Amino acid sequence: MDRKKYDLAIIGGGPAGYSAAFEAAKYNMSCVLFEKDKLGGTCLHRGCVPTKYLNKVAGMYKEVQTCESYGIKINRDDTNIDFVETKKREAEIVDKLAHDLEKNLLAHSIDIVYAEAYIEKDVIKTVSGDEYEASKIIIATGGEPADISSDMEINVADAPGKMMTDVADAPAKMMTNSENISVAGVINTNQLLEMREIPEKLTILGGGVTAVEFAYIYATLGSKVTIFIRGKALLRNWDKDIVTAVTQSLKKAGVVINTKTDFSKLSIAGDEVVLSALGRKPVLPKGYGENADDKIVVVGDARKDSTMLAHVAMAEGRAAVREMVATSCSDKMGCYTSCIFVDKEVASVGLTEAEAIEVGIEAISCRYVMYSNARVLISDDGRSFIKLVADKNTKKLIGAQLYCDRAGDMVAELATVIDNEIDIAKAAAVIRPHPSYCEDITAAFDMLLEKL
Amino acid sequence: MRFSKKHIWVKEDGDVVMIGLSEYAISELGGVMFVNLPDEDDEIRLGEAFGDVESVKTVSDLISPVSGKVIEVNEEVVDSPEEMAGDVDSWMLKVKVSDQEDLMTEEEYTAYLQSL
Repeated sequence: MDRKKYDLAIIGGGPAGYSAAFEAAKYNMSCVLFEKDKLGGTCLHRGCVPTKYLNKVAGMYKEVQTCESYGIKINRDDTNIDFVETKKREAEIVDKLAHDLEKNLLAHSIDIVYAEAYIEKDVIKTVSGDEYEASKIIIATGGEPADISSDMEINVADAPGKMMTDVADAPAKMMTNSENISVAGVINTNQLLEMREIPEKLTILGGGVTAVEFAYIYATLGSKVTIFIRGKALLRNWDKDIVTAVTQSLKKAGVVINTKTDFSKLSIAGDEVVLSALGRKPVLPKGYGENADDKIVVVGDARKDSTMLAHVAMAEGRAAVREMVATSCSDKMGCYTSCIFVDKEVASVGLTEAEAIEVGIEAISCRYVMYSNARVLISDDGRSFIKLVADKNTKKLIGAQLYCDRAGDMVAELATVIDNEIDIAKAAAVIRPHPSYCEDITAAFDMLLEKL
Repeated sequence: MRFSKKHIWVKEDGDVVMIGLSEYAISELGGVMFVNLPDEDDEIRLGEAFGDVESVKTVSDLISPVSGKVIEVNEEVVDSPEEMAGDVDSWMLKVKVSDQEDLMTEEEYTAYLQSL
């Protein structure tokens, strides 16, 4: 059997995988990429891109309902959402990105094999029986929605076949308990994104970023949304000011939030679509053992300790390749940003004040609220803020949490300040454009300097 | 109602106290845009900030006149801060008190305000 030999084999064509492939091409490594489903992975097909698209649609729908205050008169009785059309355009955008990605990979002389790959004694095989050898292997097989844990009992009234014990019989829409018991009537995020209608009632189990984003989207599009969480508040481990802002945002959109839920006995009415957004778990190819093997590196969501962020996965993919080529460039990973998209954007980079204090840093923070920002007032009169966290001893910026339009873009400048330990006074002195959202970063730095 | 030098009013309500922001403070701020309060079950400490209030001009810390555990947070004040007034209906927290400072009567507070 003829085995094709490569410098590098990558299993998985999502952000981690394709980033590693492009990095390998820079060093003229021969590279083969295996993808069992679609290039672009969860990010492109079931995560980042579809949700940001739906968030945009929700935002537009909201603007249409409020544009009269700007003197734009429209016949609102005629306004409705053809969700089939909405999803059609989403598919067009996603398909284009996937197609461009494939073209780009091929243009960089990366071989793509559309098959599920597994590892058997140092050899990479596909289900069709082809075999490959590589000096190095990167596993970038991503993750998937976690099963509902077996200590939860969730009953959706009148759901077909309430508790089924044979997974093989379970219709595609069921979530499983980890003991292979299907929980009738509960779907995961992949399945929700396949729906071509807006549910009249949507119950969401979970209070993390995924739950919050879907809650905002569907509540704004007209669903009656209810959230159930185990804890006291949404977004565990996020900065308190962010949690307050996002909670307010969801409440204003009509979302009902039930805290301190006992998941061991939860009953939901049968006319609800029930989404489980209770977490994700890594996926690994068959034959990948836990033993340390310096020929194989795991990156992205496939890692046990994954941040579940696409941009971190990309950085890990690139870093893994650079390590193989043993370049002398510093591979110290910089701080990374986490974002949430609701009515405004949330961006958090570096440490929160609470995290900093917990690790013994003498941290101080300031919150600059953008009540006088011209651009904010022009687009709406909602509350936006920039919160900065500094180390009182080093006098350096160590974290930032933003809640405002374009936070996801504004935050990049703050990541630069943190990674490069830029003097806060110098960062404050940068001449930012006016009228802009980012000009309030100057005001926030000035506020911070007063406290230092 | 009794008042602290930091413009917080305190009123007994059974075995807890209600605390809120005085009318004077609200008008000095030029209107309340948002209130940040602790969560239920949080501990607050006499003399320390238990939250803050945002106005167009600034963010001002709310200094606690009591030590104790937060039993209830008034969500209405968080949802509609612009309607906040210095009366009992605009209470911010109900606290089970373990310690409190000496507070002024309404007359004493009014006199104190003249001196500012």
